[in-house]
Formats: sequence, structure tokens, C-alpha cells
Amino acid sequence: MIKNYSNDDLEIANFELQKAFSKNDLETVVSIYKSKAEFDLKAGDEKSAYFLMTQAYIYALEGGFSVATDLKKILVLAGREVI
Amino acid sequence: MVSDLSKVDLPISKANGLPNSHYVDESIFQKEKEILLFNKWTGVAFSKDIPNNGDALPINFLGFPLLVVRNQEGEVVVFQNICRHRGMILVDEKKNIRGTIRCPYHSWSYNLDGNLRATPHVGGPGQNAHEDINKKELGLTKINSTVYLGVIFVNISGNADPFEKVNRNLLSRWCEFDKSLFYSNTDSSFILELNCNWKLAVENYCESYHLPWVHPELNIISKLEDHYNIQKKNEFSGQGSYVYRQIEDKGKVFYDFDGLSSKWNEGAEYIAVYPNVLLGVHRDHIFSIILEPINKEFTREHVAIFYAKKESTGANFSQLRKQNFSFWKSVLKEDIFVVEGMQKGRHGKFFDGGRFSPIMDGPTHNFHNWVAKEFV
Repeated sequence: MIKNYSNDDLEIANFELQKAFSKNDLETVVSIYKSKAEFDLKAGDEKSAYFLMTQAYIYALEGGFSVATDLKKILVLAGREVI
Repeated sequence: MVSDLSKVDLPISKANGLPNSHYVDESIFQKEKEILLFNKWTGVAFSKDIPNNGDALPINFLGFPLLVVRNQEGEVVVFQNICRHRGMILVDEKKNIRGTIRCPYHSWSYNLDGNLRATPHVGGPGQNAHEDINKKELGLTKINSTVYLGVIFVNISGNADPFEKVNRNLLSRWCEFDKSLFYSNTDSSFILELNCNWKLAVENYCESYHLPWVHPELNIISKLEDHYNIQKKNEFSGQGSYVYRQIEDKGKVFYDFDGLSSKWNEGAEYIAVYPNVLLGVHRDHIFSIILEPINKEFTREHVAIFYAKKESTGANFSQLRKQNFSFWKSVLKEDIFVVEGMQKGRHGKFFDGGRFSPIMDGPTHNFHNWVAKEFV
């Protein structure tokens, strides 16, 4: 699985995401959104980063994945979610 | 249509049954939906339908969207199956939910206790909180529910007294059966479709008068005189038998409930719990029937058999279970032509609700009295 999606990899990311959704593979969905969010955060694109981090958080909650806790912490620290 | 109930609550020797309109008139059906079903403790599903933690079962009960869930603590909880945001149906097919219930529209997410956990982008993209959206106030709407003898009962209106209070006499009568029940997935449930109003299925179930004619095979082992009427005003109607005999296969019988009194050695009882649940108890198994009214002249009858001991649901007992399943299915199927025939009869405009046998029809009269009392 591709771990860090740069802007150059957007088409690949999009393809992987659609494939994961079609299989209801939420773990991969979370991973893709999170990776792209982290990339955008490093690149200073907060708007995109926290949008994608939110997507990752919601699907992590739905899947009952422990990473949801970490994602929520990030969002709370950024003032994007409340405790 | 006018509903003249003045003769329904007369003493049984003088009374008439419910008038035709209670079986064929749409406005009365809608009124009964609210008064007799939504305002009462109504059976909507079986606990066996959601065996695992996280199981979620959507039910459309007479148009009302319910979501029956087994939460992470293993408790059954019931919600109105719609999101607090835009009223979207949350779950549209049976599934197991590992984490949250996510609305498919804007992804507002609820935990299995109905608490609102997340409102993504509610304050704009990537902003998941807003001062005007208080998650604590926006949990799923809980529907009062309880489980008894494998049936999930709900009180949709929220106005009924607690189930234990409403049904205290039944719970006391059958306290010996209020125990863990065991279900076999492969051979213990079935559904029958009845072209009749749901009340006719209640009425037929609770009286033994018809047994010699509709179930003639019972005449040898279980005669009419072996039965007795059961009736509790405004609560339930039914019949009992003094001659229950366990199904046997080469000397093998199902395991009994622990601690039963001797009454149940050969005793069995069949009670219609108002409004729509039919129950039967025996020393070694029970069955529960939920009458799902689809419309005024069509009812789905959901039947589930539960055993007293886990051993009885094992492979060693499959032959015996098959016999038991076939027996009950055939008995209940034998009743279909009767309830459907009575439904057709309710279109005969000169029918006056009928006259009762003062001796044999007490349970039916009791049910009609309850309907009339609630309706008025």
C-alpha cells in the first residue's frame, strides 16, 4: 500500500480510494485519507489537511479502529474538533 | 366509518364481537395502529435476530422506522432509525457495526448507545464543531424497549407504563420460564403470510374451541376437554393444556427448564399478550410469535422456537428439532384458512360481530373488550 501520497500521486490515490470504497475496506480508506492529510499538513496546506483528516477520522470511527483516538487528538489540538 | 362498540363490552352471553369496520376500514386501522400498537408494548423482532454485539437491524413497523441494536455491552437498545440532522434513514439493511453508526448522507456518527460522536465539517470544511450544535442534545431518539421470552418489545409512543408493570400478571404466572433461552439457527424459525387483519390471528390463537375441527389430529392426544381458558382483563387471553407430551425420537427428548414445578410435567400454556405477541410455553421449549400488521387485511406471522437448554440446540438433537419445527409449522399453517376465511367474512355487511359461546369464547371476548376499551 502506498503510504505517502504526494500531489503527483493523486490519480493513484483516487484509484486506490475508489477500490477500497467498492470493497468496503474502511481500513484502507482511513489509511489513504490519513496519508494524504499528513502530506498536506507537511506541505502547509492546512485547509486540505484537516478536511482529509476529518474524512479519515469519521471512517476510523465507523470501523471502530483505534487510530480514531489519535486522529481526534490531532483535530482537537488544531481546534477542529471538541473533546 | 362509524364503529359501534356498544355491544362488545356486554357480558359474554349477550355480547357481539367487534364490528366489521375493525377489520376492513382504513381509518379504523390507522387509529388502531396508534392506540393499540404504538401506544402499547408491541413485539417487533426477536432477540435471536441480533445475536452479536454490534448487530443492527432496521425495521419498518407500520411505517415507523426503528433500529434495533445490540450494543457493545450485549444489551438490546432501540432507536428511531433516522439521523438528527436531516432525518435520513441511518441503516437500511441488517449489518454488524464495529464502531459508529454513520449516516450515509453527511456522516453524522453515533455510537451504539445512540450518542452523537461526530459531526464532520459542521462548522465548515475540516471544522467539526460549531457552538450551536451541542452533540449531547442530539443523540438518537431512544425507543423504550425490553426483551421477554425472546421477543423485543417496544413502546413507540413512550407513554406506556413499564413493561413489568403492564404485564406483571403474566410475568408472575410464567416466572418459571423467564430464563436464558437457546436458539438453533438452522431449524427454528419461519414466517407465514396471512391475508387477514392481525387481530383475527390473535383471536384464533387464544381459544381452544376450534381445535377439534381445525386441528383434528390433536383429538387423540389432546382433546378439547384437556384444555382450559386463560383470560386476564385488559392484559392477555389464551388457553392451557393438561396433556402436553414431549416429542420423542428413539427415547430421546429435549432437556427441560431447570426448577419447573410439577404443573408443567404435562402442562402447556398458549397466551396472546396484547396487542400482537403470541407465546407458548412447555417444559422443554417455548415459541414466540410476532404478528406484524402490514395493512388492514395482511399480516406477517414471524415464528421462533427457543429451547430450554443449549444442548437441545446441538447436532445431536437436529432430528428432534426438525420434528418439533414441522409439528408447529403444520399446526400454525392449519389455522391460515380460518383467519383468512374470517377476514373475507368481514366484508359481509350484515355480519354483526357474531355471538360468542358463553363457555368457550371467553378469551376472544376478553380481547375484544380490551380493544373496545382502548378504542373508546
